[in-house]
Amino acid sequence: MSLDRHMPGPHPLARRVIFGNPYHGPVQGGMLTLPTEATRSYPQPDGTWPDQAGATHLLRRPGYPAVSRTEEQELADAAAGYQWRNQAMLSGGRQQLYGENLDGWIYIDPAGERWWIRIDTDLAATAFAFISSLALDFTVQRFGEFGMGADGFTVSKSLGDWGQSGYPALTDLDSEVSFLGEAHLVLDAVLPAGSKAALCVHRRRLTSSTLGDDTVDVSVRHPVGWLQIAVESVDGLPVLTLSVLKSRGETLQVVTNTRDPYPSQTVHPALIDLGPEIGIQVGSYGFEFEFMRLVGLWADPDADVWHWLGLRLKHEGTVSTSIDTDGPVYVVPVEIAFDHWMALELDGAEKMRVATDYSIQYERRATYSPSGGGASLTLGGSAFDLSVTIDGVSYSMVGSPPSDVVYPYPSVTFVDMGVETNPGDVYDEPEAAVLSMVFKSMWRQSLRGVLVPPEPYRVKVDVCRQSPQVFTLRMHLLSGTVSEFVYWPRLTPSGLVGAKTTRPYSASERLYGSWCPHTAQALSMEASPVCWV
Amino acid sequence: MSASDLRDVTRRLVGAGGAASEALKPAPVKGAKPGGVATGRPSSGGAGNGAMVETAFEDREYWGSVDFTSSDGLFTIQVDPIKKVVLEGGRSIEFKEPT
Repeated sequence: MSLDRHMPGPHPLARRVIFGNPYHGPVQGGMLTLPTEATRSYPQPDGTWPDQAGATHLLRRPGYPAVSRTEEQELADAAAGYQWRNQAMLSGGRQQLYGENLDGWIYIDPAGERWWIRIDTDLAATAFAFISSLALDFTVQRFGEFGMGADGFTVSKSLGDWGQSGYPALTDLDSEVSFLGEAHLVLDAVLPAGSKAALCVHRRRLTSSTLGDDTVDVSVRHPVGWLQIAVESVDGLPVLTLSVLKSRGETLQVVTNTRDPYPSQTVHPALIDLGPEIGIQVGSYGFEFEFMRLVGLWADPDADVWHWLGLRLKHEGTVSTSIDTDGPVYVVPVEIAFDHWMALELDGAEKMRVATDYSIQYERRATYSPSGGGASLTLGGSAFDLSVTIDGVSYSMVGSPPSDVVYPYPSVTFVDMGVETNPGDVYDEPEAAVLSMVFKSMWRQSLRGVLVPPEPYRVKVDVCRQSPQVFTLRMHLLSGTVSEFVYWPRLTPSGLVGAKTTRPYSASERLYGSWCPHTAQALSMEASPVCWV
Repeated sequence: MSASDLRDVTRRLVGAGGAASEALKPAPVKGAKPGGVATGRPSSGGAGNGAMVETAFEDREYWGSVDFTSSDGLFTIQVDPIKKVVLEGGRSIEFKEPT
């Protein structure tokens, strides 16, 4: 590190006062803003991956005394914008300390000796195949002891089972992940004394790294597990242990997954004489899905504890149909009630929620028309009544009836339940939920293409990771001509910050945040990378 | 941190002409000619003119090593505080152990 080359040589008769780095604050555009609002040039912490640009990890030597300054010194410090601290932080995607990237972290052993744990494996460039064992290379050496030997050594750690075996193959519903059998790793959190570090096992939504994609602001990572590197001191030297912190099954949890069996086809007796059998499904059909998936973790500042961020998704509803006849006409009243919500949790406690519910009533009609040697079935329906509540705002409207469509009978199949929920495609498998960061609430009637979906009809909710310590939910609301993003207040280790914010939809929008583990200040919704140092 | 930043830190660390320069100012020599000014260089007559001239760097004595650690506890410089400087003419300056 260049710090070694620039350390001051204390004068033999000088009074020892203090040394270190007094420059702290947010860095944006390569400029550090001091508490005095003065700015000075400072290396921007690495932001190769946007969601890592504002990463901060507290680095603290246990029991190290607070900084003591005289009143005169404090006044001088305040005037100069100096902040002398008895702790530090690692910043950005490559764990920058005072302008230098560590690509790892600092372990402080019980004797107060500092050790630099550098990850030699290029995590950003390496894809790890699920079917293979995982191996990571490290270099360990003394840190910050000027004039002493580095006592460095390298070590390789491997895991045969890294929490990803024995699970069904991951799916790729949205064609957003090109390699289904691989994952990447990223250093996600570090305990303050460096005794444990957590690596997130994730897949990337590749399109999110491309400007112009409408998911650019969401988490580019789909966590499927976490690994842990524990460090302890044995005979004065650090010993590393690599283990599974969260397996895939613990990361992607299925809480409830129940569905009533589809009602069987009913042949209405009154219609038997009209021709070949016409099958129609009627009855009540309900479903309930609840999934919880871990999306992030934070290091506790004072205890040997990880705090987990979870995304809970609940989707339940009923579809009820009955049947009546009016001569050659089937009349099928349909009632639909859906309830969806998606919540961000910290250690199981809900912090924010996006909720929608729907209620729809309409009738479908099928008219059988015998005609000489042939026959036809005319499908149509009534106007529909729609009531929607999206984030507490109610909408209602009466939709236009569908145009009649005439099909040669009996080739037509008339068995749809009337609403598409995509339960089998999107919600059925926990692996599918991995890709289902976007939870789409939409409905349409069975005669696709005949009915224009009513508006407001569509809500997309994303988890946004503005930094590893700044999370929020974002709703994309499509309503008539309105297309906008609604951001919920941002969740940081110090609590919620900011207010709910509505912004016009922008396909290329990518927002940044950062949280300071020393002052608990947070920046979010920033248009360019920002990071506390 | 740039070199200039650390120069700032260094200046703060050693003070701006404070304790260090005062400590090295020659003490008045009893019996010397009033108004005499030390040149800081040994004269042909050795140190008899009152100038304080160190015999040799190797003659210095130090207290035991102490660590000087940055405010964040991460960086440590090991220093040996000066204990005694031997001067020509059989004199010496002794310093208290830093506390």
